[in-house]
Amino acid sequence: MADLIHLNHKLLPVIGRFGISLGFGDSTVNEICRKKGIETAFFLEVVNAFHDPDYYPQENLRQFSLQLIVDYLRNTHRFYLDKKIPEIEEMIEAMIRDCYPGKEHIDLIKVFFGNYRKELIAHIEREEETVFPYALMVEEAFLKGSLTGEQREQIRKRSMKDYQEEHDDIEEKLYDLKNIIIKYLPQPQDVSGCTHILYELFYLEQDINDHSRIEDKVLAPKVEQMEKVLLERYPLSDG
Amino acid sequence: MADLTAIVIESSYVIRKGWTQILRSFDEIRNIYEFAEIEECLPLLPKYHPDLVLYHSSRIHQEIGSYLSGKEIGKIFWVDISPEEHKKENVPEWADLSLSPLLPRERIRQSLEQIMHDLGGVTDQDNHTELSHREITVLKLISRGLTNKEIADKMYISPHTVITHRKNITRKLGIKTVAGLTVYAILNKLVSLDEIES
Repeated sequence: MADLIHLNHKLLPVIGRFGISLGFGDSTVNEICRKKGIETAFFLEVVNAFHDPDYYPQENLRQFSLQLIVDYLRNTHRFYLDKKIPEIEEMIEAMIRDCYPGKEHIDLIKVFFGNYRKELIAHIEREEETVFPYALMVEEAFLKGSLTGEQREQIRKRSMKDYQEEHDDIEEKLYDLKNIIIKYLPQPQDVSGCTHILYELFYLEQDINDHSRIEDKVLAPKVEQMEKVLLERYPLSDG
Repeated sequence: MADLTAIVIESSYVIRKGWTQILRSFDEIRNIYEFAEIEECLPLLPKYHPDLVLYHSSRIHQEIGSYLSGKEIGKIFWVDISPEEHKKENVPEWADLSLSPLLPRERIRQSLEQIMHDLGGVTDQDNHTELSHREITVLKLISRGLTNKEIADKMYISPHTVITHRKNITRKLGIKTVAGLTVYAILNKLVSLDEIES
């Protein structure tokens, strides 16, 4: 496990989301996962997806329960909302406190970031309230081996593909914010505040991208596959 | 700086990596997504909004056509990257250009440079970020929360022209959202806070 972190320190928050804390000595990935009750294969899948942007999970690696994936994605959401966003907000606040000229500029950044936060929350709520329950419903029907008329109707009406297409773009505002700070914000005397915020923004953007990749490349294909099997196996409504 | 998104669909890992590597060397390209099969890629097209898709085999062209019709995906520049030599002469119907991986380096680079140029990439005269007077006027109105239609009426220009101005503003400033443009306008004292809040 230590090797893993040495290889890519950006995995630190990822292992944190699995509830793994540092100080694990020379324990292997497998040992730690077993101790923490984490499915090792799933852990590796997520780590790989984060580490290598081109990593494309093979069919047989998608054999985890959706519940596991959804739980992980939910944890990630919590990480953004409870940790990353407040951290960045605190940094912006600190800059407002510390800089004398140009306070009103930082205020603008604060308002802008506040709007971004609202957008992110709306996005996360949509996923947690519609997409995830839908995915779990499909899995349940799949595992049970039966499909009620109502469930059929749901798949017909709004499949995973539709959800995917509704996926709103939450990256644009982050991109704008970075550019505003890099290119246009009159820099305060102490530039370290801006540098820190930028680091965090780049990090957050990267992390959200990786997070979306798990949704796009692990969650969605798996749900679509089950949808297909269900509709083929139960062409007529049985209830 | 242009901000293009490219997708490479190629089942051969080595060849796919090759195309990606070449595309990466173009500043105009911001995002590159790789897929082995077209089936994996199609559902994600509306999300990724690619400007450029590299794809081979003409087998699938029917599917692409029927999938794309009626979908709001925007204009995509399709490049056929089939290795077959005979493809060189006639570009398949679905593609805008054929580019065999067997071509020499210079030919491939030249063709791609041309594509970047056509897709609104950086050109020498275009490389300044100074906004024109018209663009500044449009930017001010955007910041005040006016819609394209309202801006068009106010400036006695067509909504289409407003959209062109907006595109140029976004390209020059590197800011895409209305909120971001508003911040820029305030920072540069083009509008005051009171004007926005009213």
